[in-house]
Amino acid sequence: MLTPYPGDASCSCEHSSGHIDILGQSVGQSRHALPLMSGEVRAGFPIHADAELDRVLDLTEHLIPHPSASYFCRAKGDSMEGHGIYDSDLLIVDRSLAPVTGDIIVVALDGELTCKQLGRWHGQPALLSGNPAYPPIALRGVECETWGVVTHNIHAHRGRGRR
Amino acid sequence: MIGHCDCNNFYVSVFRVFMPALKGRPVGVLSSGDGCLVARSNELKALGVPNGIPVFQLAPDIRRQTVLLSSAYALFGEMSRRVVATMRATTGPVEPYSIDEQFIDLAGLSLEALQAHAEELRQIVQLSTGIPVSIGVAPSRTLALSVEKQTWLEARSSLFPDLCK
Repeated sequence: MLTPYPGDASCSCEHSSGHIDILGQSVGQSRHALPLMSGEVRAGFPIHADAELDRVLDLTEHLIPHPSASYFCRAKGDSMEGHGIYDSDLLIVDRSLAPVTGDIIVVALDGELTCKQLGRWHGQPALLSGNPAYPPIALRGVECETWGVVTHNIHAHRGRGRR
Repeated sequence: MIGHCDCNNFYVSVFRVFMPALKGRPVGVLSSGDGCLVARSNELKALGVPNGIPVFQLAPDIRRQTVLLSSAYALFGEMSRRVVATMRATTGPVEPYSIDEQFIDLAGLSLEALQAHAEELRQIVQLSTGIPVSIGVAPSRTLALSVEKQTWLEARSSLFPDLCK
């Protein structure tokens, strides 16, 4: 289902954190609609489950509204932990969206793809990380290009580290 | 009216989507078995390297500064499918002509609307897929193709000159 990343020159860079690997295309044709439980699961006091299962949800459709412009990427490193993106999390990246301030984006910086937050620093547009160990990068005079907007981050709570 | 869309240096452009470091460098993509050059970046064309030449005929000084890549046809096919899907979501009927060319039915649009629509289409494809395309618009497929070919080094859209008189 996934086309491996071509060539031997990887987009990612081992010695720097926050870079990403492109895993392959997102396939929009798969159909795995599962029952959607009505009611909410509250974090806190348990509520009486109201188990109506008459609606279904297709996760692919829900997460990937633009399959022809979307990619799965694997996050690497610890630079975005402050935004809830941990090493080896799976990112869904949509190229068709215009980034706005506050978005988590994949950006081509110095010829490499990296994951940052588009934000402001000292009143200037800047690329921010989610870790004080990685200082902001002011965008003025820096050649960089938005590659896509990260719309979702899939974080495994079980078996982390195993892919 | 018919639009002809050509993906600029398609195989090179596909690799550049995933490897931004290739931007601005002379890049060539080789045929199956790495025999001949089948795609050249504008930088490689500017060095006077003709299309289709066997790779052993590349002058050593050119070869040293050029990034040569093997073909990845599954990836090229997928990116071609994405270009067509993006166009179909934006414009009228789209007819794939080759892996990197499409004809577009643009019937019923005024001259100004044609120009604006072709330009919008070009920008949407560039944004969504990362592939730069050129679009030529003319009354027939043949003329549309020939108009587009006159602008092939740049990603832009253009109308058949007689239409603009």
